[in-house]
Amino acid sequence: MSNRNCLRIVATLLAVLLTSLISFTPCAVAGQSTTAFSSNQAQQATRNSPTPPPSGNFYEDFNFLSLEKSHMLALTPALVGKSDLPNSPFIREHIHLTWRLQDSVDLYIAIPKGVSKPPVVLYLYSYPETAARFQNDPWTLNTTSRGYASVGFVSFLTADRIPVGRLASEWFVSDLQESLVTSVHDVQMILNYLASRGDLDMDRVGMFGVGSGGTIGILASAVDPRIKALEVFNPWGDWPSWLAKSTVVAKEQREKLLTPEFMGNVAPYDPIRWLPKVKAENVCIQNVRSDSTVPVESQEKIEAVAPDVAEILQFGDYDALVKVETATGVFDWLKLVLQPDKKYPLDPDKSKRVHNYPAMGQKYDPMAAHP
Amino acid sequence: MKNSKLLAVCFVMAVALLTASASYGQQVLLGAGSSGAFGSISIAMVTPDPITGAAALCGSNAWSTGGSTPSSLSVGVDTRGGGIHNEPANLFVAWDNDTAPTKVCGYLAVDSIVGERLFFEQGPTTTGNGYLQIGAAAEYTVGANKVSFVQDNLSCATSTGATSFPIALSLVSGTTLQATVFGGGNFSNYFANGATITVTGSPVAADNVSGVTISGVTQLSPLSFTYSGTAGAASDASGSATVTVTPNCPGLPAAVYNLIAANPHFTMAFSDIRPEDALFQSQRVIAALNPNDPTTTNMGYGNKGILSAYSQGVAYPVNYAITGTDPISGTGIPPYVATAVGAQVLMQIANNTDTSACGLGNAAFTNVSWYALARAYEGLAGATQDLSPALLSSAAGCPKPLWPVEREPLSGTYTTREWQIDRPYANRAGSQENYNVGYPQSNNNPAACAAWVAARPSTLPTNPTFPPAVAPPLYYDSNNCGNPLDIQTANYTTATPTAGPYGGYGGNRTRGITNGEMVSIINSTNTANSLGYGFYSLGTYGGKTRVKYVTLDNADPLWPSYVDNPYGPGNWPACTGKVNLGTFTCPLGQPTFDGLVGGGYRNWNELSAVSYGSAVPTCASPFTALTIGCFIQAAQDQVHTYVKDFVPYLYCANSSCSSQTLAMPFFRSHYAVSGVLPHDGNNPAAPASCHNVVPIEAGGSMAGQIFPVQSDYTLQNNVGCSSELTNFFQ
Repeated sequence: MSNRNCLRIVATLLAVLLTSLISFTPCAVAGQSTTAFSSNQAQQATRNSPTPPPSGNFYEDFNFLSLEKSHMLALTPALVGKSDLPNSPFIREHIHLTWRLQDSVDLYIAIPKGVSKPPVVLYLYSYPETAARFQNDPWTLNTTSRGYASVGFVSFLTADRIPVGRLASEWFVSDLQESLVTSVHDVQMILNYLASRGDLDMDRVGMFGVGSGGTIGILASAVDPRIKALEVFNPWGDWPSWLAKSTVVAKEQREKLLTPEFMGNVAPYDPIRWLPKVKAENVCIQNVRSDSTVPVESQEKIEAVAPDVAEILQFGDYDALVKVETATGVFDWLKLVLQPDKKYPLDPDKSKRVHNYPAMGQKYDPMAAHP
Repeated sequence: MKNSKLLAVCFVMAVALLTASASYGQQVLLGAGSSGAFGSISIAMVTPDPITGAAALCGSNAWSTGGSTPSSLSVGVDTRGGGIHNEPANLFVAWDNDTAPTKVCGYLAVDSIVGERLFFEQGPTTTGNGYLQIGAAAEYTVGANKVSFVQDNLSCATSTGATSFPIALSLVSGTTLQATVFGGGNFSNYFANGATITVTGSPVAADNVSGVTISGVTQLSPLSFTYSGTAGAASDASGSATVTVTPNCPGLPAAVYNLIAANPHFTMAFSDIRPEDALFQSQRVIAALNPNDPTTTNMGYGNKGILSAYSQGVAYPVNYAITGTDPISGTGIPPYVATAVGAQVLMQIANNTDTSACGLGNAAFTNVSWYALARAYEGLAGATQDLSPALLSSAAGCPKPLWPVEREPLSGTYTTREWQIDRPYANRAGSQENYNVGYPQSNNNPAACAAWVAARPSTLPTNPTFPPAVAPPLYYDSNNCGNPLDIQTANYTTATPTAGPYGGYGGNRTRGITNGEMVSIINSTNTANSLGYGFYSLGTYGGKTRVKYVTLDNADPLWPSYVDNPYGPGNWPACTGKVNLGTFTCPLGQPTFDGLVGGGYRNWNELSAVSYGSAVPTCASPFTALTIGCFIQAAQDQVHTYVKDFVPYLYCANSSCSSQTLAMPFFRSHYAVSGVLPHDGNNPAAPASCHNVVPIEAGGSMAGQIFPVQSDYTLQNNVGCSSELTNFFQ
């Protein structure tokens, strides 16, 4: 049995022991939807138990993005592995964090050697991508270069982070509200943990989110001011269009999601609503028009509500992106804005903060006779 | 589940069980498509996996037949009827047991787009998609060894032959004799069409022959057969003649034949071009042309066959769809997935018999640029010197006419060539059908050359000659034939005499139907300075002594360089033996495809396996299940080890296949076409974050720009798994 599995079992047992202390949030909260989740009604009934939380015990309110209505109890972090090779410029730790039943977060922290309290960037990629890249040396070298710590993790209901008992039909988008809110809570709990370590500069925290990770980054930044800089890449959002057209949603699944009930449930967590409220001091939104996971109209609507502190990069396709910042240069912006004692220059003219890079791929209609 | 739903499911399952033709434990997989992949896929059916050691996927028994004429024993049938022609083609069948088969596989080499059409087309409700039809004579016709390096009828190879029969002989025509058992009775099952006999004892010496094959067999244990005697053959009713037959299998075993007949529908297609590209090209071929625009994209073959200039071979364009509903029947089309099997190179070939200073056979002619080729095939260059400065000469007899031979536009070969050489992004107005489809009275008016069309030989001669010039007169006018293609090159216009830009040295552009015709034309002693192309395969080119290949833009598709070819510059590998007998050998090795895996060769395409479903087919240990996933794996392992006709996309890295090796480090950028959004489908190996989560490969690829696979991997690793280099054109 691997250390990781062993720790998971221990964590689960501990969590079970804590069951008597744990209760779930009431679904009816003033001003919030009373229908918290749309699938697996049996589990919903348990999750949405109307029993009020005993004072001082653990509970999680899935109707609020912030933790102010929740009372999360984190188990002691478990160090699963640590890599400190002599010729490596970084030390990498794998930490197992648990703060809810039958779920835990695997955190991959890479800290550049010889740097005291480095600024830190959280990396959250899109559903359904795994955490493998966080254990990948080329990726870690890129993200930790120039003295920055990187922290990678995956969101709820993503890759192998599927709580026991979940049905195969329950996936990130079918349970979108839960996936987003749980992951936003995770971001805040991770920041709590990182602050507790004492070896990172928590005044210079950035977050890099891709796809669903970008959405979670926007929502988290709207409720947690510790995220000073936010860079999102093709963030999902504008749910009506996204659910109708994104290639993330298979044709046979789409019909079930395009219901008024589902739309009503996820509407409060649309980044369109939250992007104007982000607390990050610098925001960068990068959209690739050719990426079919986010419809162009959704990209445009998200860009339209960007806050004044945002820069917007519009790429016609990935080649345009690579030409501008290279595939490995996508991490540079956060490092730039998190530099100590330097104010990132932001053009006061909003129009100059929007950069458009036309597609480099030769798009043409192959039926046409002439270019 | 509600009771009503449960009942409905049970009912559907019961109906499915009752109507299933293959009994429990019996499986049939039938493929149709690329003739270039015919050999590799067939070999994979009947040979144990050389890497995993898994038993031959379909069993070790083999039989083959077929041809391109309507009399072929094997044809593909379009279920939509309505006058759609059957598609005659070579067929390979493999099975595991003669009398109680549990696994049967077949491959009908109808070419890519036809194969895809037969796979995708849906007949009226419950009719199903296209199917394989084998003539009953298959049961008493010996295998034709249609697949190079595979021995047919292996299961009967050691059977004892029949004893000798006394025969009566009747001369039926010329030297053809019909034999019956003297005194009446049946011959044994060994007397099958194609069987080899020896006749002795006839008082007519010309009736006595040895090693000739027989025909005219119409049943197992026939009552008669025919064979050819020599000059002077005559009837002999004396009964003194006897016949013996060489031991053989009588043909396709009845149990195998019946199992296919009960499960005839194609379950997969193998194609040189992806389904999205194939449909696009098919529609381009069918759509009405604009006769006033010589660069028109459409070809206007919608209501006519595409004819060969060398035989009466014909390819029929028929509409179909890959998504939504069938355009003819209206029946819904199931979802499909096209899986990359490998990458195959298109060879630029030439007849090598003219070794003069400006002949294509001159050893100095080793390379051609893509644009020079494009101009030749557009009819804009007419002499050999236009292909290469090495052929520019003032020697007597120079310049010489160049004879570009093209394939039918409905083939994957033509299509690959068109979008990578003749009509790439940098030459968007180009086409091999330039000055044909757009020229008034060309393929719009086949009646103009009707007599010439009718005079073509019914089948391709063994040693073909160029088709005669359309006469009169010998210049490009309404009497030139666009279909079959036979038009003078070098940008001649109406009423321009033969003394054109090259003083009459412009050759004609012509067309051959099927890969077999193309290679036979170029390999002839009568077709000096003919130029052609075709996907590489050992079976296609091995032993073709009058065909050379040249490099393209100085990239050798097969070897590290032209001079590194161990068989000599421009020559083909010489291999012998049979893979399924364990005797296959290539003393000097097989191609290493350096130009392809090095990224420098521009004319290649992905070989795809198309199957129904929404997920990429997989294969699980012990790799013996007759599934499409295991079929693909077996083909890739085979081609990596035995007959190296293409570069497998992946192959098993070890006997447990715990990992796979990516053998093709380049890909073509995919693009939106035929209504399908593009995804490159570059799936990194575990444990990469994007392993098995990148979108499944989709969209067109034949016209895509070439990139290293790593460029997509790097994007995925840093920017996210949905990032990819799509919509780039070569």
